[in-house]
Amino acid sequence: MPFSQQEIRGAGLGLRRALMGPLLSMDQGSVDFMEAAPENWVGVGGRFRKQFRALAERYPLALHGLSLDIGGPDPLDTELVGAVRDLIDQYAVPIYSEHLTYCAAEGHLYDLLPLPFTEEAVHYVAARVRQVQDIIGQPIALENASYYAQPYTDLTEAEFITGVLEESGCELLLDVNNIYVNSINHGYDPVQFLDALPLDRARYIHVAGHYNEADDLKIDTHGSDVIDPVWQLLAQAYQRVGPLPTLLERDFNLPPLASLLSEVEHIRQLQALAVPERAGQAAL
Amino acid sequence: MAESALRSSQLHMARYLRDPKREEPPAGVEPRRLKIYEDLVYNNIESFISSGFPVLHSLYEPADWEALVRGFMQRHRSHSPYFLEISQEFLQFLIRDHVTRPGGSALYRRTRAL
Repeated sequence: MPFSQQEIRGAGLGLRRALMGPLLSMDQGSVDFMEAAPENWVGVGGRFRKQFRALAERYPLALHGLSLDIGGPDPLDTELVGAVRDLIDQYAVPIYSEHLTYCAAEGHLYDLLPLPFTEEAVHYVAARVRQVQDIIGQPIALENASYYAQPYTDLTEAEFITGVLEESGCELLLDVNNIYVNSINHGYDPVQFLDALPLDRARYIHVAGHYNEADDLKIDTHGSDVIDPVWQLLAQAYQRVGPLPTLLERDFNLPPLASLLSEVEHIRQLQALAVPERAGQAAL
Repeated sequence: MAESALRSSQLHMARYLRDPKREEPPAGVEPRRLKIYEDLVYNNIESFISSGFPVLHSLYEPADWEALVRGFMQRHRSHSPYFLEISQEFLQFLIRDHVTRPGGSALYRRTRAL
């Protein structure tokens, strides 16, 4: 059966191998979409491929990459981009997103490193984004990254993000946990930061938990429950952009699925509050 | 053409993260914050290798294991974007680049002692 493209909407959950059994047996209405890292599914066969396909048949699928290395000094990995495009074609994926970071320099480091906020980096990254979009044949979305150290800054972070989006024509994956974590780590107001972003380009939203290293240092681990200030920031975001599709990210310390689904349900509640009149119509 | 500021800053950061004991840290960064990146990069690669090679891992003393993983990070360049292929990159390193220390590898010593 060929897949037909379905736009993502509502509240989603990450498609992880460790959760495959519970994800396959949960009620269809538990989540509205799923998101997978293409790097974990390219070239995968056998049972995992069948299970992946079964979930992709049930839910609209977003792809959220990890290794594109959009800002790194190594040549763009067009073979990887081609493999992602094949996945997009195969499963009729409506959106491929990545991180506004780099993760390789003379070879992969397999972690997301902070880009200098400079004009040079804006032009460099935008050119590579356009190259990716030419291969994919649709705009990608880039996530505002969490970062712990930033030695080179000519621009503010919001100016940097805006510059890349405007010059490349790509969209924004708005990560509210990253805004919260950065606001603590770098001492700024998260709502002011939100307002400085090009929110008209926001395509979808990520929300996650993080690790508390110290009062002034939070680590974006996706390893715990979402905390109240981050939920509040999500509600603030909905006030500005409406109830965009929102994904709960959870990569470590996975709790039972029921616990994740209660967080997914919380996303839906905040989305319903963002547009009470539309939620009322949907219930009719 | 002069090397770009962007490129040189990234290569510097990468050199440092591959070998934080010997390389100069990037200027102007609080050591506590740089340490987060050192740990994220090392712990991530180490966890893929130790889960890919559980038996080899079990035969090493912790300090020897860390030295082996750090040797991989310093001397091998991984070009696969796929996390599940980190263990293949490590295998290539063991075959091509890993120099056995005098007296044999920890693996060999332990095997004989068993």
